[in-house]
Amino acid sequence: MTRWRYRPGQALALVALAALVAACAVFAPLYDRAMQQALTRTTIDGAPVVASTVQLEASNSEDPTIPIPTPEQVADRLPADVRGDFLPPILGYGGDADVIPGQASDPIGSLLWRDGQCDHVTITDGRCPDAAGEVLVSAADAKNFDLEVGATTRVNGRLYQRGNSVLAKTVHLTVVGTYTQEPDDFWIGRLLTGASGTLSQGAGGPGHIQHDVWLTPRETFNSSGATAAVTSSWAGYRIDADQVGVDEVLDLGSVADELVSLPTPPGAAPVSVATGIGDLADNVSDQIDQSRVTVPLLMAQLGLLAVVVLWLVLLAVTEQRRPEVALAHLRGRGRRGARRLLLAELLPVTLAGLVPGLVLAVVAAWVARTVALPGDVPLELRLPVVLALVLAAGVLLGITVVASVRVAREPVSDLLRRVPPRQSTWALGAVDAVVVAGCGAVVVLFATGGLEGPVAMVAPALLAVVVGLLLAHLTTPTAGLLGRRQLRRGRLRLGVSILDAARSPATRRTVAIVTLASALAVFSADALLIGERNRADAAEQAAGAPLVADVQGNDLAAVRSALDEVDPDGTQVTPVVRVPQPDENAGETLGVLREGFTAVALFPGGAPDQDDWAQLAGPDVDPTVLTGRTFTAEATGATLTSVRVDGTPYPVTLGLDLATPSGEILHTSLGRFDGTSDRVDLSGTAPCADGCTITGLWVSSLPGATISGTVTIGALQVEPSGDAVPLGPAEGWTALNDPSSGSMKPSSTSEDQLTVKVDGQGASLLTMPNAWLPTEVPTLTTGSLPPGTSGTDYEITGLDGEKQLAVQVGTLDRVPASGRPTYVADLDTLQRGRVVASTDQIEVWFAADDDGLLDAVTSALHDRGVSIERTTTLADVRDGYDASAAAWSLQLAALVGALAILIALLVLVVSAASSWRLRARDLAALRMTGVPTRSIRAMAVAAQLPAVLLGIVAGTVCGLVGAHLVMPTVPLFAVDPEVSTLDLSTAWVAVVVAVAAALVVLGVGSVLIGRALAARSDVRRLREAGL
Amino acid sequence: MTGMRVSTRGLVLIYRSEGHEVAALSGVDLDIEAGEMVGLLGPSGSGKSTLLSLLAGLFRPSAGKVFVGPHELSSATPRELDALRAREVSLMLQGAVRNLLPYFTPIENVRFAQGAARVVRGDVPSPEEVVAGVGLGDDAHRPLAELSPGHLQLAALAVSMATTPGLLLADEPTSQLDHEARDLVLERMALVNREFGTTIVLVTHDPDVAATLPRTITIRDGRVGGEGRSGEEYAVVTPDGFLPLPGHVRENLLPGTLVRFHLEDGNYLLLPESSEQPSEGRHRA
Amino acid sequence: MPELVAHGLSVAYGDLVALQPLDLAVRPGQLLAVSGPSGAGKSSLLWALGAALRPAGGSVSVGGAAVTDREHAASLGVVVVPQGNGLASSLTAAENIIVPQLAAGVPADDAARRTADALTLVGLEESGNHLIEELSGGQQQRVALARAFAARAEVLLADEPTSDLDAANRERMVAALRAEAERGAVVVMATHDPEAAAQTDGELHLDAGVATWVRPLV
Repeated sequence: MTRWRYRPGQALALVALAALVAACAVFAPLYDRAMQQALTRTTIDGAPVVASTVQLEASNSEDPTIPIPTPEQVADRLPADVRGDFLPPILGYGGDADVIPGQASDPIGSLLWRDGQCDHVTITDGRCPDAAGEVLVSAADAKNFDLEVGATTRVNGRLYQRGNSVLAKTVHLTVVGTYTQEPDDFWIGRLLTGASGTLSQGAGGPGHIQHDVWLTPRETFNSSGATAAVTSSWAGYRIDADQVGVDEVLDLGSVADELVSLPTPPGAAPVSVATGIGDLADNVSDQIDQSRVTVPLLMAQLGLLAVVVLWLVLLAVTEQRRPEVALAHLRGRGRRGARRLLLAELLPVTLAGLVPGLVLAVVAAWVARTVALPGDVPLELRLPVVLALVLAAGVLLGITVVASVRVAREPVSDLLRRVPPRQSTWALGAVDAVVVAGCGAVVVLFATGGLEGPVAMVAPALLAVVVGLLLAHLTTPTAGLLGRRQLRRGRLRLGVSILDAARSPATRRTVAIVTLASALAVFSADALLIGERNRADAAEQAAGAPLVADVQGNDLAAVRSALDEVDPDGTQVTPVVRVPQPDENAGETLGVLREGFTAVALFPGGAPDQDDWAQLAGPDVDPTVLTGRTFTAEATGATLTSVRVDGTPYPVTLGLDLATPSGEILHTSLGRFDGTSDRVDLSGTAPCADGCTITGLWVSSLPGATISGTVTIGALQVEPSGDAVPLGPAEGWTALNDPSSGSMKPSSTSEDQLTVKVDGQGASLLTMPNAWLPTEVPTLTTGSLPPGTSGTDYEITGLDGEKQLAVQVGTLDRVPASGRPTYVADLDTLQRGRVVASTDQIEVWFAADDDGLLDAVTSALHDRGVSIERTTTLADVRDGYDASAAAWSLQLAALVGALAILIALLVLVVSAASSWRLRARDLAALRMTGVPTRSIRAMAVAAQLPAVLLGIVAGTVCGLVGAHLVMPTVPLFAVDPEVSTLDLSTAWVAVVVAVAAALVVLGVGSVLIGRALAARSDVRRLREAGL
Repeated sequence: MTGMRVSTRGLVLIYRSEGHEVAALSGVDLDIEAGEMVGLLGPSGSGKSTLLSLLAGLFRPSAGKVFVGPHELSSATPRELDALRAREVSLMLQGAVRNLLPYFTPIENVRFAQGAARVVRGDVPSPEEVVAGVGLGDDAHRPLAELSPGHLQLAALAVSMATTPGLLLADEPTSQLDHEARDLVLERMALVNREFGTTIVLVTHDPDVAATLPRTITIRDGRVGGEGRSGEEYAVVTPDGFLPLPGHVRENLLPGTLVRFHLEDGNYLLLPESSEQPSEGRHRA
Repeated sequence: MPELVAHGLSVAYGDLVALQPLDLAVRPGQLLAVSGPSGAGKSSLLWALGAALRPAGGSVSVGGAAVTDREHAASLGVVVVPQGNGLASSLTAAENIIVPQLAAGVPADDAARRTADALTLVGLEESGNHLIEELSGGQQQRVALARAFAARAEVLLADEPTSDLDAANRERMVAALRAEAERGAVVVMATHDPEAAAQTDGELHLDAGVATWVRPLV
């Protein structure tokens, strides 16, 4: 100890660095473990209750003669050693409660006992049943089947044999209360209500009316006397999240798998096992594998930095002890004695670093856990932690011994020289050469794809080691040349400071370490932000918008009107209709309002190209709207005739197709034509009080009959308003031209009338679509077009679920919140002449996760009788991505980057501290000769700064290249998202921040160090004895 | 342990410097009897420190032999040299602090110096005794930083004498001391020399120090250039019959000068060829 | 060339008085020796004259200008050669010599020439490119003197310039100092070597900070 009181600063630096090495080693398993626990917790919490439970159910439905075991016996099937991982099992019986005599109005259904059931339903009337034959029925049943409290009913009970026939006993049940069910994990996903009054899906015959589950005490099932029919005996184990850690979950995974495949003993009722724990365990296990990549990736690099720094400090420290080592030789102690002298001094100090290192790691893990990890995860000092500590001890021991041996084995005559011979050339030292070659080889192997796994993970650090060392060795001779040249030219400050840097052993160290540290900082920051960005992108892609509300039902008109009311501009909320894919090969159709959608939806990786989206617009034709219940028109110059196959004429019916606001098509007849006539008055009726849009003009006859001729229709007028409705001109219509059925050609130049020339080949109905109706829906697509499509024309599924012609006008990389393939079309266009099918999903997308807006929309929808089924926010989706080992691991990067810079600062300080006397004395010597104070200060600062700047530049490049090499192997997601938004390009913001941080910390640090040196360069230094 | 005899024969040491081979010592023959206290003098760079290092076995001569007591150092193994340094040969480096572990007190330093010897043979004197022996008893347990330069040098002497070695080699033991401290250190060295019979070879450039020594050897240009006995300067005839001229004589007898030795009344007169007057060759030192 | 004058100059380190008040005037061309045992105050006097330390009392002037600090003194041409060389270890011998000249505004070419001359003068023309620590103590001392010579000092204050030198080099350096004085500089040399002291124009003896003239300057 006296030894270290003599040089406390060095001891402190060594302990700090050793502690850092140990902390890096220990932190990795500690944090990894905490992360796994958090992961387990999150996974269990996030999983539906059915996934984290084991449900065992013995049933004799196959063979009613087999006796059913008790729930206790069923519960015992779960191996006793894992029962501690679960809450005490919930026991239960299940049976049938088919009301007799079994008439159509007598409902059938289940009778259920769950231990503690009354605590988990809301009893709306009466009390909890506690005696055999008492039941609690659902509030709906009480109403539907007149089962108020006090009512009794009879159901079939246990079967018994009389003679050759099997009969059921009659069980009398008394309603003692009514209940409603609220969501509760106790029920493990079992729905008790919702069946009341519905028909069962009977196999074959018509279904039977059902009642909800009736709850009854255990006694109803197994008291003596008339007991209910037991069909199943049940035990439900819910996982005890407070007891279960990652190990237990992984164990349970295999236990669950075994349990599922456990054979049924002959003659016993088969026990079915329902559990999602196996999948849960697989999920956890996958994520653990991921964390095994990132955590070592970051910690190993930091550890490497710490080891390199410790090594350099040890070199300096042992170098400084050369005279003492020489003394050991001189006193006859030999090499071994010399080594022992050094080790006796250094080893206790470096090994002492293990203790603060362990503490530091625990504190850091605690902080990291508190900041980054959800929940209150325990920190566990387990075997891997101990092993890591032992590893750290081994490394510390190793480098201390090597550093000591290196000096101790030098001949005493060399040791006695006051100054070790300088390496003035740029020849690499043997150790450095080996390091450079080794690291370089690894980097090359990795870059060429020959290496994977954990070693590859430290590629950025190794690259930086190579570059840093080479640069360090190149720097000093280059700087020497440069300095001499400057001095020859009379540039005093520059020349002296460069020479000072060139000849100071600290310069190489500074360049090498600052390179390594900056590389780490840049890489870490880059990795962190790349991860962040990718999770953000993936979340945006998956969510689609900051808030998405799924609307119940298919009343699109109501939804649109509600949204118009809330947001007339359509830039805050926008409707989206999702038409499910008809089969695996075709894509989903997404109906959007292009302006609203591009404003509201999130497009990670780049704003939508408005030119592409503009092409979605449907035909630019105003709809022709009829508002009223009856309408009239007149036809002039009609030559319409229809000729049947046998040559006889037949009247031709003419009419309009009218689309109601909901898209329903009204096929409305206007009148009949029978040969040539000058003028025919036409009239029709349709429920179009809210306005119908004309979608087509049709003529019909009998199947097989031809239709031909011309007719001019005009003076279309709606009653009772008397409003005239324009039918022309011809541009408002799309000519029908179908070789197989016939043609209808419009001609007209005025709004008032329309002339149609019809030539039918035998189709009973010819419809000339209004130009407002799209012939082909323009779509933007992602993914492949349906199979069999050639070119850009294909079929999508229209809103009504029917095929609709579409044309691909452009492609998208991704469609927000949609997989592939997806076909995006303009909702207005899709809506023209089509109803919204009940299978379509209407969604409301919000530009902001804004409760006020949501409330406004909810209430506007409510006014129209529409409700929101559920909402998904971007934040929820993002949280899902963030709560993963992949994300938590990368968060370490921030810590690593910051620490790397601080370590570099420590190196600067230690270097300065170990050589300040010499350097201050040099500066004092210059001061003595009259070099002005300002120059002295400038020289002192300038001697530090270039090496730091050079290191930062080199480190930045190494970090960027390293990130480029390594990022593709770093897991960013627990499970890769369905639609990849992967973007591993450099996060320049992160790089700028990291470089700025390095510049500020190290730059300011070296300026301060330089100034401190200058301040200590008083000429009195020259009177101090010796160097 | 009593003093050890030291002698060298034809000692040559060549080292490389900036691509040149430089002879630091070019044939030194030296005989120092056991128990003698001898000063090595000479200008800087003359090779006196190198000679001291060779006597300590720090490195091997390029040629020649070094005898210390019964040992011949030029062929000794590192282990033998370690054993020798452990108890019999002690080198005191120039600058007192270089002989001391900075974090130890004088007594701890002495104990450290005895470490190797204590393993080999048990009869090392107690550290207290050693420290008291050089007159440093009061400062034995004080940190080095509190010691005056003179006392630091005494501590270095104590460390060097820790195992009562047979040979003490001291490089400029008084160079950075004021006169009082210098005299104190010399006095204590003389005391050690008398009391233990330790042979002492010390390098100095201080004429005052040289004047106090019974015998001095001047090294010049890697050779024995002369000897002084109680202040009187002598030239020494080498075993192969050469006679180096003292420095001041060389200024008069330039290289190439022919001289004659003339025996007159049992004394040799040195007569340069051009001169008829033998007295011109005499010069005051 | 200016005269070096000290009035009532005294130096103290805390309570310890290193130099009792002293009046001194040295004219250009004079070579003064300050003798005395180690610790007598020789270095303190020289440092105070060179304004490398703040005197406890009194003043120093060069050519009538009161010297304020070391930087000012250097600008007045006052060169101090401290004991134990005072060279920058990160520079070579030649660089050590050239740097003060550049600081004083000597053009680079001139400075290079003067440096070569000064190295030759002290017999180290071969060693200019050696780092200081590659040189022996005596060589370092000569480099320090060469630096002073190259600086063309008005006032040259050399502290024990010959302590590590052999006789021949000692003679050579004293002669060079004498030459500096003859050039017109004020030269003050602290020495404990009586032989060297004997070759000067005057000798001031210091003992425990008290000065007495052994041989006053004429």
